[in-house]
Amino acid sequence: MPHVDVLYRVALSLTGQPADAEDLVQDTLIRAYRAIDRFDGAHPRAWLLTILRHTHLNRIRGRRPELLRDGDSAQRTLEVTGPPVPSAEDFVVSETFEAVVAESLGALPDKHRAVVTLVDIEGLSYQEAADALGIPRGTVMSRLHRARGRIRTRLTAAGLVSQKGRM
Amino acid sequence: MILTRLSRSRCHRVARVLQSYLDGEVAPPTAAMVAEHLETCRRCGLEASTYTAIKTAIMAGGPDLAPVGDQAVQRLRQFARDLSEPPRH
Repeated sequence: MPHVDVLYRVALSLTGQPADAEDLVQDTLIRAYRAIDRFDGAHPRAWLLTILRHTHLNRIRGRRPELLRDGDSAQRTLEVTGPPVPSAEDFVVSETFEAVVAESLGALPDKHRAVVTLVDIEGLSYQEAADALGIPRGTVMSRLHRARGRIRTRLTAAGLVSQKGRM
Repeated sequence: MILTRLSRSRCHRVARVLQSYLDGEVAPPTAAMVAEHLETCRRCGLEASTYTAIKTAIMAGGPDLAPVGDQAVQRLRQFARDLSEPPRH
């Protein structure tokens, strides 16, 4: 099962807890094996990520039904379980490029940070991130590009990047 | 004058797809167009190096899942093997 590590990391992003993530992947694998006869063999990782997302939504439906009242439910879950956004008082401009990037990432809106985490840290493709979050590929792209643009703006404000590029 | 306009037009086209290009998410003809432009346009080349540096810094600052993650992934791999190969009696 070559995709277990990716499933686990995405599950960790969705749940925020290692034990919950492991349970979620186990449930996902059980569902996948039950549905294997209906799988056409194409794009197994995307197929598994879709099952993971559906399994995650089913698991939280009983616990937090209010999270599922709007269509962007996977995103809402990420917003609830994701790391807290630093307040303005917490934000300290650092002199290093990496530190400003890290601080900027923490200051991003949750839905933007979720996409950056899946693509840049977990290594998912745009389509895989879209499958995992239940949003269109184009939305993944626009959120990702906007998020990196915000990080770039902060780097420019900190004097680490010029308007034309890295200094 | 015409060459300058053409170059600016190419810069705009590259700017629209630059991040997707760096993520490996554009079609081969587009990738070739961007790669060729980045070799000759200093401004777009700097922009590409900035976003590459941002992407690298994000990757480097990601959560370290190795100690817990490795064990969990090993357990899950075993779980998957058990699912696909039920014990024989």
